[in-house]
Amino acid sequence: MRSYKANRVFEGYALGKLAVYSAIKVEKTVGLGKEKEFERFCHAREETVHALDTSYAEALEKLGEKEAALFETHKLMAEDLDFEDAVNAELEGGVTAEYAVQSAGEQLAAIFASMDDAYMKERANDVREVANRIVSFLKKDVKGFEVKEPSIIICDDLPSSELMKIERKLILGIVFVKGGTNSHVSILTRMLEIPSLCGIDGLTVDGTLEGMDAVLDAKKGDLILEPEAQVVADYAKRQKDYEEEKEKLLAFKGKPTLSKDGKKTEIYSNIASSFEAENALRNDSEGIGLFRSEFLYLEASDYPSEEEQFEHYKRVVEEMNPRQVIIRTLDIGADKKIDYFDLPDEENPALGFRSIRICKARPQIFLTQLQALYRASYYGNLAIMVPMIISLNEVDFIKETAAQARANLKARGIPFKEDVKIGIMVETPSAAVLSDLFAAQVDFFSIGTNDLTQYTLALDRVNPNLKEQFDPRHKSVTRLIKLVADNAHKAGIPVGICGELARDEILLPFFVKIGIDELSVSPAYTLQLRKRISEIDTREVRLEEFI
Amino acid sequence: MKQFNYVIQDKEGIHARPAGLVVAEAKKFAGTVTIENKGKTADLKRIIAVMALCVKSGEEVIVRVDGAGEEAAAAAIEKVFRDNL
Repeated sequence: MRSYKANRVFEGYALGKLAVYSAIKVEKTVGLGKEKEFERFCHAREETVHALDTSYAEALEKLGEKEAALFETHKLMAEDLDFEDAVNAELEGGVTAEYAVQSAGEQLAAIFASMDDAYMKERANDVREVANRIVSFLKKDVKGFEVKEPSIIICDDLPSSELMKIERKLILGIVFVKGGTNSHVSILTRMLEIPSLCGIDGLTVDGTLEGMDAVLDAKKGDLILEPEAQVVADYAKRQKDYEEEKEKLLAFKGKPTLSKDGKKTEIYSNIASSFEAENALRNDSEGIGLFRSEFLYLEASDYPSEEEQFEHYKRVVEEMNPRQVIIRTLDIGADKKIDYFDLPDEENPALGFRSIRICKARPQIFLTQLQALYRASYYGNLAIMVPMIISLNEVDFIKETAAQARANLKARGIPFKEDVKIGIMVETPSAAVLSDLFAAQVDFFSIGTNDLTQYTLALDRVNPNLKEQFDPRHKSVTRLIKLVADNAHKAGIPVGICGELARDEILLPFFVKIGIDELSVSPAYTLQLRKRISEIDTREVRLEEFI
Repeated sequence: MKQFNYVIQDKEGIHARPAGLVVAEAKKFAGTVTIENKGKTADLKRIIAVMALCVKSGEEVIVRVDGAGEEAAAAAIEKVFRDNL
């Protein structure tokens, strides 16, 4: 029995035998001469175009016009004259058509990969996929991929056209050993709701895996090869329970979140990249309560430009529209360090130079981000949330910078919404204690429970020796939460909770009772939480038990 | 030569799907069709080049159609822009 850690593409379980898909490997070898190889290319291209017509028809039936249209675009790419020119240039070197097609594909993919636009970057894979497809027709001797019985497909990566060819009921699950969570094929996999994993280190996809027994746990992110009988039995039960539970939760889809006695809460999602909005919607989330903008900074090698940030924010805002999207401004420092920020080493990073403190010292970074946010506001329902607040003068600074961002955009003639809501995270005892004063100055509160616990209890949240004592249900914390909620409601502004504590079994009745307006959790928990809230009667909840 | 200007309304700009539609329409015409944006020109019959222009929402493009039957071809291509972009 061997097991591997992996990233999740779509949640669920699969138990069965592996079917190996391997991409064709192309070596640089001498061909039959330029003319003959070009002829082979033309022939393979014709077959590819024909096959893409079939893929289009299949996708049209299974997924609808919008998703199918991409195969039409693939067809035009196969027939593209720039592509043909690049193939011809490669053939000048006397190589095989296979090699020429693959390198031409790589060259054109590189154009897209280098673009300053997340959507266009992903298109590099489309070009590669088309090139691979032509290569597969050139390699006549290699048999096409076939799945004969229900299996877990394992591959380095899978062209989406191959996925469309396989009957859905034959796919128990998919493992993309080298794939990413946001590739076109991963998106299709989620739309088809196939339990799937990606990104595994130390596993080589080869013939030895064919027919091997496996368990895929795409809830936790595990792949187990050659599982013992006891493990299989255990997972079979988990799978059954999971499917039954999922069935029950479906009844809560499309419904408002109401307690038994009719108190309304909203379930929002925490996401860390613009690609996850799709996940939030699929889980019937009512908005985004925390979009962690720092991923834009963490993934980059230099400060992300206004344009780059704008594209990401706009994508989420548009996709979620008319639902609200709360975007948290830069939250780095402490445990999140970035090289190009060139931050000094600190004795006490959790109490150090982070978030709004960096923004105040380097206002240009903050101004750029606010300009990007205001621009994106034009495309839907965006709200701005600033972390790590302790003093009212920080709110003044935020408002001044926001006013400057608006003035700059106006001067540039760029559209934006004037009345974007600006809120703060309440995650320091200071902000909680002064919440009556803050409530008069901002449009909403969002309570960050992890940091609030850390700072209230003076317990380092990442210190493993303190794990036992790190108790977010400590009455000092719950009393602060109640104080914040009461002050928000007195001032008539909404209050949310965006830590994972928001779905805490024990505190949930307390949160609903004190009228938390919005609970923001990982998208996968949306329906579960809605169901649990429907079972709570706040008239029976006794506040004194919690505070 | 026949030409028209068009401001892209689609919020995603000229992305893969509508790019495919306009290129497919342009390819029906025997003459030359070009698209210009931000000072760069591409052959409207070449999808990779068209996508590589990375035309965003709100930007203007100039389409030039040249050859026999250019009048009708330009009208047909413009209609695809209006319907999909």
